[in-house]
Amino acid sequence: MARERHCVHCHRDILDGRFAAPPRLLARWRSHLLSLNRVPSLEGTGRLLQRAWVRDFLLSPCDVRPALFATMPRLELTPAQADALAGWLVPEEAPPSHFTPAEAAAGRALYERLRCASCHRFTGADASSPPPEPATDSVALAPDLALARVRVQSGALADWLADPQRTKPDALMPRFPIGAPEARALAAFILTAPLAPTPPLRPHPRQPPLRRRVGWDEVSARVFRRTCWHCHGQPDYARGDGGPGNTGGFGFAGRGLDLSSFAGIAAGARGDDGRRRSVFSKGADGEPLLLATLLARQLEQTGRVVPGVRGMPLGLPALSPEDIQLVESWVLQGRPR
Amino acid sequence: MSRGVAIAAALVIFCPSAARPCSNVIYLDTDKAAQLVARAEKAVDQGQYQRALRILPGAPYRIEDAGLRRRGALTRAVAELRLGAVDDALDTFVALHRHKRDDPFLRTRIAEGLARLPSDTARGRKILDAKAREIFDDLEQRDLIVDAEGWAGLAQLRERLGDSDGSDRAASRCRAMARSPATCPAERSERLRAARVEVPRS
Repeated sequence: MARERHCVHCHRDILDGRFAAPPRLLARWRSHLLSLNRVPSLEGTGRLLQRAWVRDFLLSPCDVRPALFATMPRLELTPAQADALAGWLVPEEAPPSHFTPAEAAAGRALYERLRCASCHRFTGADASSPPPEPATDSVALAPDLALARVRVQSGALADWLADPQRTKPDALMPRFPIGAPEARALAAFILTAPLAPTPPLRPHPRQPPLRRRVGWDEVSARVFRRTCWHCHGQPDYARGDGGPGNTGGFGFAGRGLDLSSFAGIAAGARGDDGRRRSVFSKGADGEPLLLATLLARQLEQTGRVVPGVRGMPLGLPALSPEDIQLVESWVLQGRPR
Repeated sequence: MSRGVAIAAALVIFCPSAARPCSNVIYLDTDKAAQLVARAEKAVDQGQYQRALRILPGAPYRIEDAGLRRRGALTRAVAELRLGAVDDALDTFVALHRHKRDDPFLRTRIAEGLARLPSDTARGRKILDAKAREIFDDLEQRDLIVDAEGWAGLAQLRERLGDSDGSDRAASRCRAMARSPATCPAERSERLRAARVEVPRS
């Protein structure tokens, strides 16, 4: 049952052409399933990443891979659960390495020579940046190297750079013809290069409600149908189920929230007590719940978690201020049809 | 052309290909059924209730997928309710509600249906109205009346029960939500104006 209802099971079958649906539909669905092929494998996590970083990332995922559209969803984990998971993924860490300025200087030259910037961004460092889109799978999965010093075990990075596939057999990172001293120099540059302070991320300013009339057709086409519906669908229509936001998934209980139709959204969602409540009812901050979750996602992207509110869309970029303005205007106007 | 060939040709031409015969029932496959239900729902949305009933497959066709079958039954019942076949519609809503106890859409339709269900006696009317009001009040309190038609039903019920203020509140929500103002009862000021016009001058 768990396998049958699991998102990945059906989505994998769709990608592989095994799902029982007309070819026309399969082709359309395949074009939507980009993220599934670009989920970083967990193979070798324990040999490369820091346990504390993995724990914090599980509790409050940040954007590690700038060219990847989706990010790790913020799951329903307690700190103790995140601790346990991080401990399982990273059972032990390599002893830390210490680098000299000379190694870092040599590493900088190597960074340019090996063209690391073809895939990696290195925010804040005096180094080249990758070209803009279109991103291949390897570019999409390339992490921002500015995070390496908090994310990667310093004692493991040189080994990884020398032979990525030895640490992680399915790694997309190519193996460069470099020896151990060069790999160590590159690690020194990545872990110690001065980083210019980056301005703190702030959510986009909120737009005032629109004065013109906003109807369901417009808000549905631009927001609900385009973004929300995939996880908050109508189970009676879907060939799989209603998605994790309706029938449950990703460790979340089914909330019964259907954002695919006017009546569906008006029918609200089940709360923790199992009782339905309107997604337009006001939360502690006075915002309608629906709006609060959209705004919370903007804050999550700046590294702030709103207690008790899970930002939506889960694991995807926040809606633009204009789209949030559209939703807010529609709600304030009494949700016209 | 022999009669047999003509019948065979007619079957090929008129029978949907996306169907599978099984004893005296022809099962529609999921894609065909999904298209029909979606078209019928759109027709209901546009107020074309007769058209919705024509689109939805009737005997001997049957929708194979249980979820789609429920959607089809629900769409048919909404169309019937709007066309005045309240009894039939209510039967369907109540049957579907057994599987979805806290579904606001079904509860809104049940309340609407109870309020419109004909009753021969004043006592019967009172019981039906009380039950409809109980459901509507609960949904209103939780802001779970799902559409303008639901608010219109509540406004009309309250007006009948003498709660003009409550009726106006519901009518106002109806007007904010409705695609067309014709869905909602007129405001009290408009009703009074209309009543004054109708009073014959002595």
